[in-house]
Amino acid sequence: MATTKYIVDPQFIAKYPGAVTLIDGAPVALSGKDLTVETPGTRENAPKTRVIPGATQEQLRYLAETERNPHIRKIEEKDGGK
Amino acid sequence: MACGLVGINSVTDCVPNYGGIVKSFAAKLADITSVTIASGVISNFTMASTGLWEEYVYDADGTANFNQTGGINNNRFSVEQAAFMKFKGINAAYISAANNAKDCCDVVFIHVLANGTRLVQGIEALAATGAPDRTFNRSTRIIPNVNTDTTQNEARLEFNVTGNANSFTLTTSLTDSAILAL
Repeated sequence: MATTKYIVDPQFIAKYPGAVTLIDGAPVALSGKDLTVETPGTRENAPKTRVIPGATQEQLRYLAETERNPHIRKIEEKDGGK
Repeated sequence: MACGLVGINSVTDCVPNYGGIVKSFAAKLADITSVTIASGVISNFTMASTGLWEEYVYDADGTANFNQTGGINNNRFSVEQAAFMKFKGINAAYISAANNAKDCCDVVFIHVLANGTRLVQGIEALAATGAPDRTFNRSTRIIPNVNTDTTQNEARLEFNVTGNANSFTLTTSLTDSAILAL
């Protein structure tokens, strides 16, 4: 039995570990890991920290199947050798 | 693009459509790894990292514009794309911004028009989702001017953003907040 999985092109994510895109107007990190962004303060604005969530399997599926994002791969994974 | 004619009717009412551009966003072409196209409109960007789009809010004095002028040489069509924006004053930060901007070989600007339409300057029109290409005939670059002018006028930094492409620019459906969230 095989399971369908979506992954980010390993070469792409090795080159761009901080790659981001939008899902429903909100950013997601393609690495699948949360991305913490520190913005230094200025005279007008206080410093701020924001966390861009890592893309979920469902979001990667959307990017691959609906948006045809060229950086996402669909793979078939065998279930634990059963 | 295949030949086709689509009728246009511009005389249905008396409501004016204001010209000019009101703000722009810019990124380096190299930082855009993919552009999503939906029904001929850019609906998403994939960026190499976050925080790579910069916002430009220029003087609201009716001078900012983005014009696309088509030209033809026998059967060869091209379009000159030129944006103009200016920022009042001259200071160290502006001079640094000008010096950095002049060194960018390919830039992408999203110009917000007064009617809300957003035009994407700096990439060739794409038919489908994929990596963007620079404007084919001449790269899109920023040519800054730093002018003191004279006492009856304002000192200013000006950006001329010019390139030459094979097609008119695509539009994007992304909002200001979506662009800045990237």
